[in-house]
Amino acid sequence: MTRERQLVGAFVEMADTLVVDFDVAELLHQLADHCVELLEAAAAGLMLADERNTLHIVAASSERTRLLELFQLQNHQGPCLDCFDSGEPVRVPDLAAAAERWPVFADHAQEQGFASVHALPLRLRSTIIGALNLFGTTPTPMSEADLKVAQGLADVATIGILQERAIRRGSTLTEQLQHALNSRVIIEQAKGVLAGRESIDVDEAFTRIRSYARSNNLRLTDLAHAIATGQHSARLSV
Amino acid sequence: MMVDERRRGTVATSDAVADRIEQLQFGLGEGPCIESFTTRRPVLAADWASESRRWPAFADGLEAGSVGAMFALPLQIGAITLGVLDLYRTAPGSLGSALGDALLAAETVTLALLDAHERGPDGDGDHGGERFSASLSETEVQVYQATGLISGELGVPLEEAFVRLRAHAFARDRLVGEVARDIIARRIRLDGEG
Repeated sequence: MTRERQLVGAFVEMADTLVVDFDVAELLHQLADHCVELLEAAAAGLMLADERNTLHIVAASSERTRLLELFQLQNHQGPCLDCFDSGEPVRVPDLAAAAERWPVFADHAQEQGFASVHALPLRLRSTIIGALNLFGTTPTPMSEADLKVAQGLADVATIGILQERAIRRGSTLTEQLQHALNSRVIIEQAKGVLAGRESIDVDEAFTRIRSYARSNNLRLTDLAHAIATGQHSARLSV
Repeated sequence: MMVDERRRGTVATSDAVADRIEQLQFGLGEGPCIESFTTRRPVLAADWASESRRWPAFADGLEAGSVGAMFALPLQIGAITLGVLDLYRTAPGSLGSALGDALLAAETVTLALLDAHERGPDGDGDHGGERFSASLSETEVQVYQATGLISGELGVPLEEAFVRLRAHAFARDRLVGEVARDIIARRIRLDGEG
């Protein structure tokens, strides 16, 4: 498939998701997956800020716990924090050269095999609500064309988070962000519950929850909530 | 403030208007508090005069002019939903920069309720008062996962699992995030006694 067709396909798929009663958690995970496919990134993650400007990871292309830690670490230092503070894209084609700027982050990222990192703002007019974070395994700058695609995907994420506002009349940005953040907490709890119940690791638990939600046409957040609260206790085998 | 799906009711109110707000909502089954609880999200009605149309029966039951704005904040951590903190003000207007403080208050109340639930009316346990989401931002994912893991392994509700995790850390003078990592890696396991 040509890249153009891939791009169109991705945007059409996401537009299809933005229907009444869509699940913001699922949309954001789709988006993280598309970033990896379309931009040849090794890993992608979406971070949202809460009311106190603390960044939280809400979706990632891989749920490896070590990778999630790398996103979270950026509340202290890293491209996501800088991008969130400035509202501008942060490009780091070579992480080795960023050791002075973010010693702890650069160290951890390289330890996990990453060589480049980019962060793009999730922007609603003058408000920055979070950042899209992309990691690569080779020290190469992202092309202008790829940056545009990445910003387009970041904009879709922002629209997705805010879309519900149109559906839930009168709903505010804070309400939407708090909902998206809490959905993520529910998913983490559900991963743990399934891991504890089935004696598997938490990364495997997420894979099972997501594929079960897809094949049974369930909203990711709803299934996660049912698992977390013990209302869904069927085995989610693969 | 309401607590629990099965035992709906008001725990505390600050004045007569707040009391009326709570009683009406439970009587009618509609209002910001009920909506916040069922949708698991904050409901912020900064301009009560126009936004109260979403809950016509409830709005009708309030004394005219007694409420200018109403805010309902869920007392929750993921799938742990304890209740809702209802706030009102007599003049319309958003909470503005105070919203962050209000959300922090809701979070503090949630943790206090969880601890109180665990130790019962006579207990004196204080789980260190470790601020949750801000200070633990680096380890929060692990804390939520470990909470679920304890719940799944021991077959106890998330509320209880979360309190046990924090109590275990406190009793051993360890950080909650550290204990969470050990639990996820299966290096330690909280037994039935916690």
